[in-house]
Parts: sequence; C-alpha cells; structure tokens
Amino acid sequence: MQQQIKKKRPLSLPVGIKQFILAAALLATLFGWQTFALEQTATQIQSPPLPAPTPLPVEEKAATPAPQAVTKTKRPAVGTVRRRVKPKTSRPAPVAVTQSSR
Amino acid sequence: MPTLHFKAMHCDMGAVIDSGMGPSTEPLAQVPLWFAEWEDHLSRFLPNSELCHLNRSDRKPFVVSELLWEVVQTALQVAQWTEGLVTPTVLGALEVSGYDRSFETMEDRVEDSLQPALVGNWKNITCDPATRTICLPLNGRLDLGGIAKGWAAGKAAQRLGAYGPALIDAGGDIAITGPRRDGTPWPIGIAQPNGSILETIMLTSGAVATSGRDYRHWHQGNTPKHHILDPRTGHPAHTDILTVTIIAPHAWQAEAAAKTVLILGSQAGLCWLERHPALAGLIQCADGRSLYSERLKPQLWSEP
Repeated sequence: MQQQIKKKRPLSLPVGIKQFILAAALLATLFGWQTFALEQTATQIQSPPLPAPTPLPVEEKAATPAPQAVTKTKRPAVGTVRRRVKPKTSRPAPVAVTQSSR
Repeated sequence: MPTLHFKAMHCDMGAVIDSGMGPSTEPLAQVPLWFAEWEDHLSRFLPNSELCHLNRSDRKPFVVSELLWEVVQTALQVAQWTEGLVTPTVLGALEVSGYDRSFETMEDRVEDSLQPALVGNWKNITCDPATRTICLPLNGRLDLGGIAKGWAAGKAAQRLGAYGPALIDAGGDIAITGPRRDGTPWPIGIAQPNGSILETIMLTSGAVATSGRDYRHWHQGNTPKHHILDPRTGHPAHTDILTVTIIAPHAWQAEAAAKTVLILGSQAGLCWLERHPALAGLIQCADGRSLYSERLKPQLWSEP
C-alpha cells in the first residue's frame, strides 16, 4: 500500500500545494477522521491480492501398510444409553461329585 | 442342607437331605446303619458275609436272604443286558489278578499268579424263586462289587426320601429321589482323574455313576493291572478309556453301563451308549479327549 501511495505521489510539489495538503490533512484529522479512515479502508480493499504463500516442502514418507485388523473401544453414540452388561453366572457348587470308586 | 459323611463298603459315603426345616440329622444317622447291614450280606471281603457263605457253597443249592436274592437278581439282569460284559462271576479272575483283599490294604505290587484267570458263565447260575435258592456253577463265585454299591445307593435314597428330597453318594455312585425341595436340580460334579471338576450335571431324577481305572490299579509283577475285568479274557480290560460317567434311571444301571462302555473302548462304547435312550454319558479317554453322548449335553450346567 505504501508503494502505491508513493507511486501516486509526484516527486516534487509546489510549496503552496504542500501547505494545502497539510492543512487538508489537519482538517481531516480534526473533523473528518472517520471519513478518512473509511477511505483508507476502501483503498486497502481495492489493492491487488497478495500472492498465495508458497507451501513449505513436505518430506515424503513411505506409505504405511493398511492394517489387517483394528482394535478400538467401541464408544456408544452420543445420546444413546449404554446397555448394562449381564453379570456372569458362576457354576453352582456341586452337592456331590461322581468319580471312580474312592 | 444336612449332610453326613461316613465310610462303608470300603468307600467314602455321603448322605444329604433337603428337609427345609433346618438341621435334620436324625434320619441321616440311620444311613450308615443301613449300609453296615447291607455290607454284612454283600461284601466279598468279610469272611462271614452271606455272599462269602454262598461262594463257599461248592456248587450246591444255597438258600439266601431276600436282600442277597434281590441283589443277585439285579446282577444277573445286568449280565443279560450287557450281554455278559458285566457279570458277577468274575471273583476268581479278580483274585488271580491280585485283587484278593480290600483295595486299601493292597500293596502297589502283588505277586504273580500262575493260576488261569477263569470267568464262570453267568447263564449257568441256577436260581429258584420258590425256595430262594441259588446254585453257583464251576468258576462261578460272585463279586457283586459295583452293582451292590449302586443298588445300596438307590435303596438308601429311597428310604431317606421319606424325610424329604435326598441324595446318596456311595463312593461316586449317586442316587437322588427327585428335584430339591425348591424344585431345582442337584448339581453333581464330574471329576477328572486329577480331582478337578470337568462338568456339572444338573440332575433332577435318577442316578449317576462313574467307573474308571484311574484309581484302583496296581502292579502284579511288572504288569499293570486294574479292577475292571473283561470277562472275555479274564484280564483287566484293555481299553483307551480312563473313566466313564453315566446318567441312568438307577444307580446300579449307571454303574453297569459305565463298566460296559469302559470295557468296549471309546468308539464302540459311545455307539453302545447312543443305542440306549435311557442313558447319557461322558467318556474321559487316556489321551485326554472327552467324549459326550448326545443326550448328556442338555443335562450339563451351562451359562445362561
């Protein structure tokens, strides 16, 4: 933007015009700062877009083989009620044991 | 539940009653007396038992008690049912094998015997129900062994059942009177040879028995022996089975069926088992395999 402003500005101006510009700038500062700021913003919008940033070089990695199987904890979807796991029933204690004659 | 443990017939016994009225040991206290009385009639190790008198009758008609009559008839019924694979006429052959005294008094190694191991033909036993006389044939001395134990288990359960749902464990031959007081089955463990529980049967009726060569075995000279004889050879059964557990309507049936399957071996034994709708069983082989009959699985405990 500074470059553009410099381009638009003539290399040398008469003293009267310089004073006029200074006075105008002063007036703008005192009475119309907001208007000036808006104009400045408009100037910024009209300025040509900056070149897209060049992407940083990425180190190439060897391709990871696809996994044969994936284990992961199954998480219930948000909002679903987790089912209660039925407790395991243990083998009943035998009242008697059959075996070859003892 | 009130439970009583005692020794009888050279085995560990147990009696359980589900009286539902707190400890009820009075009926249980009678059970050892019943077994002692039965042992006096049926043991081959008590020289003055009625069975020993019969075995010394030297092929002459011998009048027996109702009790001995009933058990001998049961043994003959078993011999017929198993086509002679389980016969009471093996006493001579058992003694020749070295099993000539109660197992707990046997040493690991017994002397060789030069006598032939002969098994009498059970069909040659003559019985006269009118006079209740029994006449034993040549080589026909009787060992009622497991049949007597199974019969006793059933009889004791029946008697104890007058006081409430009951269970009798006669050295691994188990008889019950029906489901427990609350209608649930009796959990019965099937032991592996190492003592751990392999399966649990949920028994609501009948009986279960196990027969095996994993415990009662010894050496005669350098030859390993066990107590289940194959009557076809007169020698301990040569089999790939270690133990067999059978569920049957009666304990003596379960005991007889278990012996039959063990003698037949795993393949023929399982086929024999499947041919009898009243039976279910589990075979534990010497190589570690366990074979389940089709009708056993629904009777095993499984996680609901």
